Amino acid sequence: MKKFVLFLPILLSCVIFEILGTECHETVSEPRKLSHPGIQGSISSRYTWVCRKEICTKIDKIHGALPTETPIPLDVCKLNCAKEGALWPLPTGKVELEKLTLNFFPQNVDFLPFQAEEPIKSMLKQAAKIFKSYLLEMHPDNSNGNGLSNFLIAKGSANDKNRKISISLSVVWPDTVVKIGVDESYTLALIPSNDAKLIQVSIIANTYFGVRHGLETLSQLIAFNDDTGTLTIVQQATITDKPAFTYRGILMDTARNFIPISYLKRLIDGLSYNKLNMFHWHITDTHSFPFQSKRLPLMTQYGAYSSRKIYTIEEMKDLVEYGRIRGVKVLPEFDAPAHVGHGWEWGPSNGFGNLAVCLESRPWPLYCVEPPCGQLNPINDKMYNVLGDLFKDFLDIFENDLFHMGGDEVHFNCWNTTDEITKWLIDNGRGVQKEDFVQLWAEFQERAYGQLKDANNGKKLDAILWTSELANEEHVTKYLSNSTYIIQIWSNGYEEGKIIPFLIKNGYRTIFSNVDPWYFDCGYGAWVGDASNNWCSPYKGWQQVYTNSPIKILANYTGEDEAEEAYKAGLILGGEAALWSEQVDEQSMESKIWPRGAALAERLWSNPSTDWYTAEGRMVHHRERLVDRGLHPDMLQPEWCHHNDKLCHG
Amino acid sequence: MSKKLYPMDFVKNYDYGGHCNSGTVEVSIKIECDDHVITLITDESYTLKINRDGNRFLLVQLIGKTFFGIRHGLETLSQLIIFDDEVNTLKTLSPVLINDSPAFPYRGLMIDSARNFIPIGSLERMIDGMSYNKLNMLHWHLSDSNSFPFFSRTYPQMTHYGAYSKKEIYTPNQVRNLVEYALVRGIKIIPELDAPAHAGNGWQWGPETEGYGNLAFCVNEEPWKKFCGQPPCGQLNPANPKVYEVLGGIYSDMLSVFDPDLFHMGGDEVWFECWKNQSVQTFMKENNLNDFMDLRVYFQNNAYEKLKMAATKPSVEPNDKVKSNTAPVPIIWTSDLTDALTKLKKTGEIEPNRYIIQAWLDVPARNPKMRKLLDAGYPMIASYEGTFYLDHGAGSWIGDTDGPSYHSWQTLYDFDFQANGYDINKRVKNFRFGEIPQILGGEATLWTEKVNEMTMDGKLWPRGAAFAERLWTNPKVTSSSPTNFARLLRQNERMKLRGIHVETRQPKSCILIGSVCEILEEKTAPSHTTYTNDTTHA
Repeated sequence: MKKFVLFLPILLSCVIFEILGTECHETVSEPRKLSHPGIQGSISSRYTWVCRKEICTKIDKIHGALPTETPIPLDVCKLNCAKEGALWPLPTGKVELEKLTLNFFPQNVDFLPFQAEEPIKSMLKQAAKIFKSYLLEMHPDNSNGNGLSNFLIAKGSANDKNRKISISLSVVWPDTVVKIGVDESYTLALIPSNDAKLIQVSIIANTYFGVRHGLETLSQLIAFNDDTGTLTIVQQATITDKPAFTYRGILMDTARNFIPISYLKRLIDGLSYNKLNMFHWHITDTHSFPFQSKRLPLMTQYGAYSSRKIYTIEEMKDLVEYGRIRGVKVLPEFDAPAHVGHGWEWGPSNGFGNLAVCLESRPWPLYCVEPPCGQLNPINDKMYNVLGDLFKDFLDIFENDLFHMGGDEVHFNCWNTTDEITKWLIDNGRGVQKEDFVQLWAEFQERAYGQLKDANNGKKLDAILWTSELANEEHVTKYLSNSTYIIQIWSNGYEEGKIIPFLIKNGYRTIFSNVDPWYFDCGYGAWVGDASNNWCSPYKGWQQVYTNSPIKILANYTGEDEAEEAYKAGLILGGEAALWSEQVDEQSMESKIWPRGAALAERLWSNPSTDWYTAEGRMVHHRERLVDRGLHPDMLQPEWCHHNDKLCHG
Repeated sequence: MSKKLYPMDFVKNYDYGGHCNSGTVEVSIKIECDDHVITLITDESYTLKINRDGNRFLLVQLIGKTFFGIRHGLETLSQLIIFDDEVNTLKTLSPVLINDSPAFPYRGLMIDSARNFIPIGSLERMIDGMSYNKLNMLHWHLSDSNSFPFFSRTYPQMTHYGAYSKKEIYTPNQVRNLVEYALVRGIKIIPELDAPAHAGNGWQWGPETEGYGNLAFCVNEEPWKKFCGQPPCGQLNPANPKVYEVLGGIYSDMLSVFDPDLFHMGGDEVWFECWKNQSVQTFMKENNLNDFMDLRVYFQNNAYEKLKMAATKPSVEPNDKVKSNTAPVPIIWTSDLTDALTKLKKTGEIEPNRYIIQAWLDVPARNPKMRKLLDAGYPMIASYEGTFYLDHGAGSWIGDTDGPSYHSWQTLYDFDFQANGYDINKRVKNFRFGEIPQILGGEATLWTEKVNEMTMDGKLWPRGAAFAERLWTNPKVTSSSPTNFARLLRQNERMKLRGIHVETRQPKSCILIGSVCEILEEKTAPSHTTYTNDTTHA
């Protein structure tokens, strides 16, 4: 029997203590370090790889290789064993990869003077710096933070340590912003000198963004070589490439739960590795308003989850720039008139009247689609002034060629149960039937767009809206002009997708985000209600993400010819996967986005005619690349499958 | 007063004694026995009292039979303390009286480190999470046909051939330290060496080592569907006596670093097709084994003999576990073998008072074979895959089907032992532990085909916490009981604060505003017509 008493003096108010009593338990002691001579030495791997019939094949190190074969590490093998190598997403033009490789050290990579004008030149400087960081991240010990010193140049062979890589970048046009329709094509060529002491790399593109993609591709022609301690590069290659779709995006919601800005930067990193070019930022919702408004500081005072959970103006400007350099547009969404609430409470006490109605109304299913409820008050003129100020704040920070106005899931019963609104309708000789509310919504949309245009100094800009009651077959042509509005489709592509051919037939430009399978939050337990799984369950694997083809969905309704025509006419701008954050925070967002976002990227960049199974080995390998660069992607398969390409088939 | 904490209803256990003042906290701890190993009969109960002594003293008394009970008490105590952001101090309550003890002795999670390697640091984080929830058994599925990451001192060839890479290996020192790390957190680590199936990579070295021959068949064999349940294939060679020798060596290596009383022998998903060859047939004939089921029993009994011997083999290293000379109690998965146990004539040592059965395929209420096992007296651990498999619901890694769906925290919380055919009051005899409850408890499993250290936390937590309350408290109420979700969310926040990468369950607004995110039954008549809209998109 034992008894221990600990006395702990406390200085602060209330009660603070610390438990120091590990001696309560006899067997607790500092684990003694015991060396097992021989263990470390005998820990080695018996296996290596050779390229056989375009497949990297795992063989026994001692007696697995044929006399004609040279065993190499897996990462090196993957560079050019298959004809498309380790490239992700697949280039759409010519891909010629030489079967030979050369070793080099990152210390010997140099950029020739950039062939471009300012400000492109300084953008290229940053791109070159990012590219060099990719090379360092390939070293398995990079997490030690040693950078270049991980690469022990003195230990290299004479040839390897003197080999130079010389990169030339040229940009023709002065584009500095990712816009819909921006030219992202590039040509990449690698040529070794006759004595193999120099590899000349040239990347030529019309825009900065093309060259940036070219550098991304170049990084995929290089791998760490664990046998030599060097990097290894495909010694000769030619690639021409351009994307199939101009809009290639991921949506992240930061209103249901706050995502720290550093994680949004990591998201942009991930987008750039995959040649995705749009970060659609669903920045506000009913739940919270984390956007710092210069003109309306009350918005975050009332609406942010806490004073720490705010995106400051400086942070957001910095993020836009961070994205621009990485070929990613940060596209803001201000969702209205539904999906608003917190942040808008301050009207009555400041002489603005009710800016929002139904805020926190219960039981919520009567007034909104998910708790908490809230919707803008469309009959309050002052609300439009506030909206105008907000738009000005948005356009001070974000690029001004494209804006997402949300516009989904307006709940008419919210307005219909607000006396102020129904009275106004009746006083103005209007009714309170469904069509009256659709009209009220349409009027809201028109005035809101007017405010947005004013905020843009009277200049028109493209606005995106979600599919909704307002954007359906019945109302879309009546209320929304196809020269202003782009429609983002979230309806199920096959079960409720009739709206898709209708929109295309009427000349609307579209972005596909059909919930099957491009909603990445699906498949977990429900967060409202009972033990069932969330509404869009089940979870969609990368295979389904990869298979989802906007053109095929349309063709399912219109036939292939018409779908192809719509694509050529520029009515299918591209697609986007969405991560709504009811059940996501910074801890889990990355594994939900990656590597499925990479599957999306190949669909949108390459629009491959081959199936996911053809891409599986490349995908699993690309996932490893994302890990090397510091992302936290989900695991797809046992590592054995990565080691044994094509053997984990169904 | 006998009330339980997280788990359950702690709100009722205290009253606010007015404002608390700055003061001194005195914690006294009283332990009655010096048990230093967790077993199936460890007393984990504790009593926690907090009383005020004047205005400046708070007396905390923790009384328990064992260290493990006291540790749980400290866990509970930590849940009575919060940080007050307004005054920048910690706060606690008084008076408090809590008497607490677990409903089940076996409250486990399983991690698989063979499909994908899990670094030691992440296993420690898992142990941390378990300790916050008073879970006490970590079942470590150490090896499989995919890889063999456990470094065997006797047979270093195992990792040489079987580890994914030289970095993806657990050394004996690392394992020993992890076992210690777990112990002080109230957790026992139970190793599993799955055999004779789920063994392949690592076992290829026989033919090139004088006198060992073929240790395993079908390793990495194609087409895999013919020879195993998932790629890569591999199954030990039951006809090669050297297999048992090697097994014995690895068992001994494992018992040098793990506790010696419980050992998981695996034993699931044997594919007879893989054994269909001449050498095995000949061996069966020579040994009067009539069919493959006989051979399966033969393998099991011989492997068990080696396990028994390993337990008595003297330790090699000075700080190896002290071996107890009593055979460990083996745990095996439900399989065709356990289905056949009650009708097998030559069961030999596979006796109810020796073996524990981990039931993953079904529950006794639906499955007569499992009822027979219970009737025969086998102790059981509930691990039904339709409720307790935490890797489900993440798509497929072979082919592109949806796979089984995700099991919500409510599904785990609401697992009703009695309704599923588990009589939780029945007790049985065990050769090592004496009388034990027949239903030892439950275990939720995290298989890692699609999991790595980045994603494991979100799959384990907070569902593991919901599961923990089922096993510690076995509450009569279900997940829909009003305070449950709020308590779970609070526990989730607590775990996040302590560095676990938990899955977020709801928008933060739900935590701030409380019950607003429930679907309420109350009907408030709207003043006008109701329009129903589309389903929610986000």
